Amino acid sequence: MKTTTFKIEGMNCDGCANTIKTLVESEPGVQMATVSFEEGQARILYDPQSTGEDRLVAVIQKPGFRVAGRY
Amino acid sequence: MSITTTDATTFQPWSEEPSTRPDRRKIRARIGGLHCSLCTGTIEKALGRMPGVDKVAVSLTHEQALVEYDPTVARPEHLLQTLRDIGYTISDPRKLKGFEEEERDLVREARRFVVAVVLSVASIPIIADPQVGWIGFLPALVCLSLGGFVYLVLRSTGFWVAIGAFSALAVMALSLLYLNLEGYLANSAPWLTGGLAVVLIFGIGRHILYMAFQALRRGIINQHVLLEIGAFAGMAGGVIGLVLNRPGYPTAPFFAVSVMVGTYHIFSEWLSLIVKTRSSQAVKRLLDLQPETARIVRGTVEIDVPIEDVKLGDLVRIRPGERVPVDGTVVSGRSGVDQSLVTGESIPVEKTEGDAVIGGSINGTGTLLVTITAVGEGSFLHQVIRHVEDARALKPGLLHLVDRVLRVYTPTVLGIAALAVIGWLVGSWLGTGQVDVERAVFAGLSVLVMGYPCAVGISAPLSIVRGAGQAAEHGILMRTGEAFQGFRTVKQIVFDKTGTLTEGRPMVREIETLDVSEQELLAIAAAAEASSEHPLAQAVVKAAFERGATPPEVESFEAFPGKGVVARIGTGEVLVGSPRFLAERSIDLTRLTKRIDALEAAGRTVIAVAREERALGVVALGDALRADAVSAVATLRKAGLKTILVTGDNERAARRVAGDLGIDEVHAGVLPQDKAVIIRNLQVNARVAMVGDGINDAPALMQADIGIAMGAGTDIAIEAADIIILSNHLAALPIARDISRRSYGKMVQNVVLAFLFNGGGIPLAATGLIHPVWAMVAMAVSVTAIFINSLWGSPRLFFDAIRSVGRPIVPAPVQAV
Repeated sequence: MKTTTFKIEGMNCDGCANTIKTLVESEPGVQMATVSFEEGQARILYDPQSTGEDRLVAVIQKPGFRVAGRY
Repeated sequence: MSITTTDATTFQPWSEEPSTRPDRRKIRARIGGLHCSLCTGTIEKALGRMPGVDKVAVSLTHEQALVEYDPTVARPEHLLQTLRDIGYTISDPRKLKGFEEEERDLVREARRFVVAVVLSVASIPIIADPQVGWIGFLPALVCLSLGGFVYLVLRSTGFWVAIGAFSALAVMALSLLYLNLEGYLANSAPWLTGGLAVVLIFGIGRHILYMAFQALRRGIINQHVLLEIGAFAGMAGGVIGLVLNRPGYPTAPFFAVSVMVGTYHIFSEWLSLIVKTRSSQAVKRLLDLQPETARIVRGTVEIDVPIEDVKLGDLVRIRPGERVPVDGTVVSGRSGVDQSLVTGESIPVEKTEGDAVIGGSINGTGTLLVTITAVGEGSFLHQVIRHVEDARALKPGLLHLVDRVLRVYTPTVLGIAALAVIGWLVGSWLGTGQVDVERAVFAGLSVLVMGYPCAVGISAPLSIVRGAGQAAEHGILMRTGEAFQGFRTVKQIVFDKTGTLTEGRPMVREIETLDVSEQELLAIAAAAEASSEHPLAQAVVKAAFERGATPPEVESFEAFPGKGVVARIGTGEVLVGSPRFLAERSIDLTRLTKRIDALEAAGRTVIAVAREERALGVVALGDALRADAVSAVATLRKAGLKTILVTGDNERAARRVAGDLGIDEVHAGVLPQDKAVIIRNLQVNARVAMVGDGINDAPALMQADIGIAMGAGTDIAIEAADIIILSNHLAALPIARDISRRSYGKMVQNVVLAFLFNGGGIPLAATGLIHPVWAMVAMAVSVTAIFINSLWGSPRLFFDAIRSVGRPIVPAPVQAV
């Protein structure tokens, strides 16, 4: 299990944060995620054997959000 | 294995529109999950860059997208799949039908109102009489206020449309006034106003005439009947004037009064529709509007099939986290299934081969393959729907305040009108020896015209606009008139347990450790549980995630269903499971035994953790009371309400919760249909409110005088309820009761104001000495008084209500992307 925090740009409201949470959580290997519009970031708990950071970045960026950093 | 989208032959979640070019097609899709205006840009961009797509327009208000595309390149299924991929949902047009129809009704009513205002504003300057003095200004004020409403109604269509309409009305009124004052209309005024009255009553207000007729036929005397009595009295007065053609007889004013009462009635209908549409749109936001489908396995293919097309014996795949779409039996797979919304059990149940699952429960972390055992009428959900319908029929009615007053008022007005006629006939005969038929008829008609309290129609909707606004500030949605008029009189309040008084899902409540930190214990437990399908696994993982504990890598893993997990983490072997499971594997738990016993006695589910043969501690899980449950129940009890708990869960869990909250009466192990029966029995004593959230609560919510659903509850519960607590805070219950009391007070004040001026005018009209223009004055004054009384200090609530709904559903301007 691994937890990664992504810095996300382009969220406009709590709705966007919710959208990202739904998308990320439906990704196989993701156990849990919290996405905050105020902080502009997503914290994701996932199984690194089933998915990876790059895969998650792609999922977040698909609707047009930008991942500006990860830590 | 391939997965196709919803079977296009039976059902498609979009509708076709005529396109601008013959070689293009246009579809309209209903989208869910739009939250702000910037989301529309996201969708327009995503669809716009797909090959074959020409134009995209997304409307946030109507939650719709219009897409024009080249059918040889793009397919609608792919367009909609793209929308799903970027996180939006597609709504089922069939589920939206009711909402869209309501919106269309509102737009139609608004159009009627605008036309009625045009007729009114035309009739007033025609009958303006410079000789009556200061009263001459009142009709001008009426014109101005009506013009203001037209502006409000049309504002959502466009600023310039609204301004234009307002200006046109002003020009028309002033030109007619000029013609009148110059004397050009002296002879034509009665005919002009007569024509306007006919157009309004028989043209635009035809539907009211029909409704009044239908009511009268059944012996019901309602607002429509009273309106038509007033309107026809005015017309009769006008026709008599045309026939007699006597100087000084108010022919035109009689007609004009008919126009005015009709206009105000249409206005109040429009206002009631605004209130209704607004609350149902708030409800719409809470419902899951996606098409209900089941993933049917046919050979090696999985297809999404609409729920009404599934057949007995079909195999359905249910993925982690999904709602179980049908009733069935598990064929393969293993998962913890959360049945709290269906049965009221607070702890998920582990399901494996041979176990039954119920449609509406939520699948946990495992994948299940289920064979369908019941469809359509036989399914659990359909049975609940039938019970809801039964409850709807058995729900005690609540006579609305206005109807209660009208039951006495209308016969009184008719009686006084008759008395006025007879009085004048007899009086004139006794006094002068001659029967003054003309005066008698005039007096009778004046009473009827004066008697229609046209402001009564707006008294309830306006107090609801205010009350609903106040409620919304506290996260409460009061959707029915009953909510405002009935909640204040409730003497008993019934609570569902799971999900209403409690959080409705197991959470880590206590952690007991030996020699390790809580963080470390949670991390180890979560690592082992993350790979398991155990019902409580998610709760443990969530607790670890929330406290920032990252579970370590698991190298190998073996699950013992119903007992626990053995996992290899790094170098050590980890055991996570029931205390008995650990004891069986000779882990020494003596240092924890006392604590475990205490936790289990308190109804907790205990999971013990050991590493390298050594016990590390225990994690206790349970369904927690909502933070404000204690204070909310206490407040309601202090207010004199009897509190009752009704749950499908077991007696022990129910008693404990009732004890913690000080609830007066407990019914445990209750089946869904029996919840409504319990409510019905309680209703013998006094009015009952029911608070719940689950599928099994829906019949009871419908049966109760006031049904209150949690905003996070199931669709069926929300639809059965009168009040919805959007904030999910129980503290909102006493607040809602308070709002109900205050709104009812306002409603009473408004109704009094509505009847005051007309009622006061009736004795005067009975004398046969007053001009029909006074009926208009009474209307204008009472309407103004009610507006001031209802919206004093918060006019915004009214403007927001109008602006939030009633936009015409016309194809939005399609823009090139």
